Amino acid sequence: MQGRRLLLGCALVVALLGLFVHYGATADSHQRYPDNEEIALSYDDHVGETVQISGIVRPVTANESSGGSDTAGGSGGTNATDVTSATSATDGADATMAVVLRNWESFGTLTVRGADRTVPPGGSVQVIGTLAADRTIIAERVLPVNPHSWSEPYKYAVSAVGAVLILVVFFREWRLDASRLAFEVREDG
Amino acid sequence: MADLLSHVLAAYALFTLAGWRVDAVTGRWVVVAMGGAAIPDLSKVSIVVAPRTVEEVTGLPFSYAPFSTLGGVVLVAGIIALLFGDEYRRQAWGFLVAGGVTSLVVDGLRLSIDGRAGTLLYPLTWWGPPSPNLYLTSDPRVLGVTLVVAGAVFVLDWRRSAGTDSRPE
Repeated sequence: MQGRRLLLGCALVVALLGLFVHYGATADSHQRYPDNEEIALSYDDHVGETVQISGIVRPVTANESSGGSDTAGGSGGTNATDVTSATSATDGADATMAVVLRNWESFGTLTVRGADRTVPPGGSVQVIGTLAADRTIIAERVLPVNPHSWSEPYKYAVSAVGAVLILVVFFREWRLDASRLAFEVREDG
Repeated sequence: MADLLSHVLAAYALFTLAGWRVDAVTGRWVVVAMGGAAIPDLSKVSIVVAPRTVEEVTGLPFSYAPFSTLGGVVLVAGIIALLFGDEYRRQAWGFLVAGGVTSLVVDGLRLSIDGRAGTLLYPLTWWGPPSPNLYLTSDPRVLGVTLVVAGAVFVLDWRRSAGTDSRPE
């Protein structure tokens, strides 16, 4: 009985791993626009195309969008001058942001121009726009995913509370039977 | 996706309400559905081990995104259900899947830059349902709403069971 259970468990795990690999292999061909990965791996091939990126906003530095390492400008919003210079003065329909590509931070900073809304350093955005040759994206649409520098820490903190809540309520109703290695109804509850 | 606490509270409210009409949905199964509601959030494992790292180590393409899809929910629910005693396994799987689907539906409602809810139905289809663009997860009002709703359900449920004592546990 336990052997059958183990076998079924292994089959399910293998199937799940199969989904991870299949998704990784085929998702690109199903997405509408090139994304972070394609831009980071073959920027020049996508110049002129409409792209969709997920970016973390960084302070604009003096020699903006020089590429290379992003770590110098790291942890956004470290000082007041950076924060104020992060967006260009025109915070209307034609603002500018410096972003790094999420999961591809080592690719360095890109400039998003023509944004109709901006997010301070430490926040993050999704952008659909046209990829230009000089590490620039001319924005068509900007979605502020994490509009504040505290947005992402907020989500993680709240989610941690959620995880604790699940464990607490679960083990009020269920207990682990060590001899059978199975969850059983808690009778003393 | 909505934050994990909102997912869990939404599942709590929904399945507790369902329990008022359906006898099979007892408190012990509500908490299993709440656990199922967390399955789509497992894609955040990417914070601990980046998918790119997995790709570099194994040489295979890789993505955690299936956790947040129907296929991932069904399989992960199956794995977790195997941890339950024989007599509970089928029901556990059902409630885990139902809780996970609840979270997928909640996630399908959020703001999306291209108006699509993403590949929630993978591997059945890559098609993303249109999104009603209702909320942004980083907006604390999302949690505010789920807290108020879950709190109201909790109070009503407590008064209901205290008043009639009709729900066998």
